[in-house]
Amino acid sequence: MKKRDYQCVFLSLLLSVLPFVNFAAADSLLIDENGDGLLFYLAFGDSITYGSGDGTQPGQDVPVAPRTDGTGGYPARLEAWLGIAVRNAARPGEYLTTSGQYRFVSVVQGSAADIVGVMEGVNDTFKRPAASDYELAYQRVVNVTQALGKKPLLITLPQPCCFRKDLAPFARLASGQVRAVSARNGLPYVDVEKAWSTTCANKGECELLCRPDGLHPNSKGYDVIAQTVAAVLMGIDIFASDGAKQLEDALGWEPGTVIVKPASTAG
Amino acid sequence: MQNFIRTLGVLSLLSLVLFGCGGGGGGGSRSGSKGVRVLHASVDSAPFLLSTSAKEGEVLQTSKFSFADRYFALPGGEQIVSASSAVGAPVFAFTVPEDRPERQTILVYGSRTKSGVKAALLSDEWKDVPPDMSALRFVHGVEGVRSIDAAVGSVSVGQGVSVGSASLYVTVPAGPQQIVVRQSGSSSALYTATVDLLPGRAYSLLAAGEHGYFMMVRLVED
Repeated sequence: MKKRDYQCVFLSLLLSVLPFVNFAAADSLLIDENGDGLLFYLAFGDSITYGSGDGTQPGQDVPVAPRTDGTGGYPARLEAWLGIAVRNAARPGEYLTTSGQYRFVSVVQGSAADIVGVMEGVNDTFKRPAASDYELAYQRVVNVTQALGKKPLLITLPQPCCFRKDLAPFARLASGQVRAVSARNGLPYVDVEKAWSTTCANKGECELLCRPDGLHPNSKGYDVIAQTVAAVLMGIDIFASDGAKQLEDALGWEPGTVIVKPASTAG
Repeated sequence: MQNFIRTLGVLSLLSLVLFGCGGGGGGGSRSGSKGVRVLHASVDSAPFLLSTSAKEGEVLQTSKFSFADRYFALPGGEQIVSASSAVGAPVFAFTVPEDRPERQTILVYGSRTKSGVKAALLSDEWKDVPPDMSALRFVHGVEGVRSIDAAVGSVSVGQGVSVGSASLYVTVPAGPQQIVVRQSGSSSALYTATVDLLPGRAYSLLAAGEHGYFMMVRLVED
């Protein structure tokens, strides 16, 4: 082949690949929305976002999850893995349907965040809320975030067990509203509840939670949450049969590092 | 070999055209500068979907809180235009006669938990704008504030504008302008911001949200 032919082959291959590169980029949420040169994720939530229970291990007896110092949990993992700025803006014990949605405005309004992850609502389950209470709160959170030029990312809740088994139906209610509000607003969401159902070996008393506490994840649980969030941020379907491999490849991890299981394993 | 290379090149270009240029979408592409649109000012409401009796079952626009799409052109004759919540309810319908303003806005305002969600059909008509000026009006959609005064620079845009309504258009100098929004009868500002007005253009200042929770004013080109 002449030099011109090689150039043509190269150009052809490049043009063949470009559309697919374009698709991959379009799915990623890692976009500097405000153009300040910094990719910034704001993690809003309660004790689960704060990282309570982090540092405990599966099999350990944990009647009450240790509160920790707020430097762990899924936000710290995201920061380390993705190399983006992350602020943990969690407040343990907070209710989203009452004070949480008001604090949310003040936190987000003064923030340079590009993406706002919201995982809150498990404390509300103590009040036995209606689905509409959750729907209203999540819609407000979405509207305020978008109006301020940021991307909202709602996150479903881990399934409580053990001491908190009675809260499970209401946590499911909240997760259902996360999905519904996200769909209505054309937004992606993070399905931690689904990750629990695919990954927990013991479905009734999931080993990803501090047990018998039953509400807060342990270190392995926080890994699952962070992997599930990271996948959505990178435009990867972690529940696909090759989702774990995709995430491992994207982050340069060894095979087997991702512990979230594909949807095909859900019982 | 050369044929293969040429074929590959053609296929690549074709794939680029077919796939690489198709990612945009997302709404608003069929809209224009005349017709009807929705302005969504209710902070606790889902998006509102615009439809007309001329294209029953088709969503013309999806309007999100505080954002504005451009106008969607209506066919001639009397039409029923509707803004329906993505949740399914409420649905607000307005009959617009054949002899209608060139531009109209369905303003959705209020709160699901307080006064209820409501809608009003506004006429977006302004007179010729001098070349170095802009036309501007104030649209009040803030829950919990009965009436509002708004000023741009030293020009009053609206005095005592009641919720669910709009002031008349006034002409103001084009360029960067300071806007101040006050609750009528109050000296303290609810909202201040600087906006950049282009000459010869018409705008709405949409005040949206809920007093005591979250409110904002967005400059929307009409």
